[in-house]
Amino acid sequence: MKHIKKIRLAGFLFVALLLNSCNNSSDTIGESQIDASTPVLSDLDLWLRANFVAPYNIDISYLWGASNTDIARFLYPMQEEGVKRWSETIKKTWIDPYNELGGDDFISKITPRQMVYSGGFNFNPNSPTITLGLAEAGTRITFFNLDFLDYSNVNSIREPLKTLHHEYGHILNQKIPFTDDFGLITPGNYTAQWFNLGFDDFGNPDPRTYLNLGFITPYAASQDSEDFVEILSMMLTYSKGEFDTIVSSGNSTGQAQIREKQKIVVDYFQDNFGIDLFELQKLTNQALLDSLD
Amino acid sequence: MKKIIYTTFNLFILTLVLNSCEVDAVDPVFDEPPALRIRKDIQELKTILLSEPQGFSGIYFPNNSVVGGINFHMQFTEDLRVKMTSDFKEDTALTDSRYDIIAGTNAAELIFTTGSRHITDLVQDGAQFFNTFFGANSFQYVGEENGVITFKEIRSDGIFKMSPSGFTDFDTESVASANTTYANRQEFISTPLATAFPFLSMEKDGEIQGYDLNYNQFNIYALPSGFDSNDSPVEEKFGVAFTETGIIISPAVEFNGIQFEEFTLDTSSGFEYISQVEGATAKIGYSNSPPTPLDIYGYDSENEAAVLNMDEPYKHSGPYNTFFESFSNDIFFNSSLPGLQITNVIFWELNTGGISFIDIRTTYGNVFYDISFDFDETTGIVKFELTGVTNAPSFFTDAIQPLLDILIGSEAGYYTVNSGNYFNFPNKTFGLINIDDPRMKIDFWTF
Repeated sequence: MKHIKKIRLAGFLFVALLLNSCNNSSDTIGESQIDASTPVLSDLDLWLRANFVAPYNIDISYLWGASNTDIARFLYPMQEEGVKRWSETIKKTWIDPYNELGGDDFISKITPRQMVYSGGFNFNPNSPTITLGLAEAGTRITFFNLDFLDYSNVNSIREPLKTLHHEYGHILNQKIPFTDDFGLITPGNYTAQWFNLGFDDFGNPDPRTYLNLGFITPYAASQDSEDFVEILSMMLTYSKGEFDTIVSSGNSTGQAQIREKQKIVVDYFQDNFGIDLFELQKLTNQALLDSLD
Repeated sequence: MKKIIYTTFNLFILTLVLNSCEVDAVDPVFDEPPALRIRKDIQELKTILLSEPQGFSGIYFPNNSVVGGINFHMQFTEDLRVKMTSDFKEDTALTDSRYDIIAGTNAAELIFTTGSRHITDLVQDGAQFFNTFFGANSFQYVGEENGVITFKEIRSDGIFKMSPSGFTDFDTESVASANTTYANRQEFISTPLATAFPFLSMEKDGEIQGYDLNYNQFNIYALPSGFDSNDSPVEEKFGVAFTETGIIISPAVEFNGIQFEEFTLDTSSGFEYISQVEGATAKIGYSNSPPTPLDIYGYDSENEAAVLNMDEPYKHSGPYNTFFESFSNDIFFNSSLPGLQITNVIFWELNTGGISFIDIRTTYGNVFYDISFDFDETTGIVKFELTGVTNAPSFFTDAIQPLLDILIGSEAGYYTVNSGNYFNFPNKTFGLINIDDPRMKIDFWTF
């Protein structure tokens, strides 16, 4: 019993010494090393906050951040002068038409949360192609070559808007997938060499090379998910008359296949979102024309 | 027994206690953690950049492997805006864009957060024409020493050094300086003193090494090549930056232990940039004869025809282009043949054994002149002579005589030299260099 007491006493002494021996650190908690200062906001930043962040929870990232893009590509930030006009353009040609037909909160409910603007071309390595835009995880759309927009040329503005409608189509598809029957219309015509379509045997542009195969653009021939959003983006950046003219350039088989696909796209919008795609086409096409100089 | 247990236990406790008192010996390389050091660097850089109301001037060598140096002038303000100009393109007007100084991966970084074409043009041209990086928007802060701020561009190993501009009016003086250095860059290729033999030479203690400069105006880059005293090929490569008084090359070239980096323009005997270091001399300029053996084009054997290369004017010498432009203007306004234009010039029957002739095609029709030529395979020199057979009326010949003189009139003849391919086609191109006037290099493509 006596020994047990002694052992307990020794134990207490040991713990006391041990704790005391640990109390020789000179480290103290200093000032935080995280920079939490308020960023410098320009008039443009304030405008973007008021017109995109507040109403739609969309962040317009026009300031260069290497993490926003692929560092291995030849990319650079957009010139500041073009940011506001391009932002206004996408609001009028994309947000407003969708909200008008789908409800005031359509875009704010289903939207990419970040739009990244890049000035330079995104050249694809080992390929004669460039990437016009990217959609990532349904949360971010990146636009490339925005420094080269020419508002006096409808095609110059149409291309990035086509990218927007294309990528937004992917986001809608991620929320509600389209039916499998779409991919069964031209299953054997999809090709990884889609970029070779669009030219005749002499290298001259010839849309019939893809239209006859049942594709509205060469890129549509890459896979069914791209095919779906290519029809959507073409419809929303051309008038109905222009779209019909393009389709009618193909042979009868190609025309029928494209029309069959178009019906699935139109039904998809009507059934899932209550949007008449032909009405949306009118609004987006008019907005595109209104955005020009 | 109990005593032994008790003693052993106490010794064990004592050992533990003593061991626990051991203080970790820390010998830090840096006094502060990395994040704090980067934050201090950010503050330091910010203070430096804002300390010069008249901004900074410097040369950016984006990539020593592929492109030369660009002069930049930048003026930073507290609201994160930067005015800048450069001499990369002819348009030197100031741009107003944004910048930021942030904590990068392992250093403070200066980032140009919105596009200024003075930087983005570099990236674009590198991508479009050379499929490589000519620059970037993010620069690691290396440090400041004696007023010189050094940045490093990680992706392409670029170096950007800036120092206070010394201007009294940034807006006007920066643009004027960029205009001057841009003009100096153009002058190097278009000076009337430019011959077809741009060279680099280095001399020390009587020993001389000569190179064909192989300067490319599009990436402001030189790939000098030559042969040493043992006839072994030697090569250098460096980017060039044109300053207001000379050139700076990067990386420096070395000859017998001497490094040459800064050159000053000297036009007292031709057009030369000269660098003198410790009694050794390096020169970059133009000579009247080939500095190294030429890559001879087999004029009489390789092809049947040679066509004046009107589609790749940069393969001609600047003085020839100047001549041709002036000549074209003169004949167009010629009162006897108004509107006359040369549409093509072709040498025929070069390797067939037939009668060779020069075929001059114009808006008034085609004329030909039979010629004989003598080609020396060893020297690569070809000499021409008109035989007198032609379908051209004399008044027509009078009008185009200056062109004939340039193309075939050299008494000493012409050096022939390979100049690559016609665009991406397999057709070879070659140059004729007038020995009497080596400023005149005229390029042809063949079939």
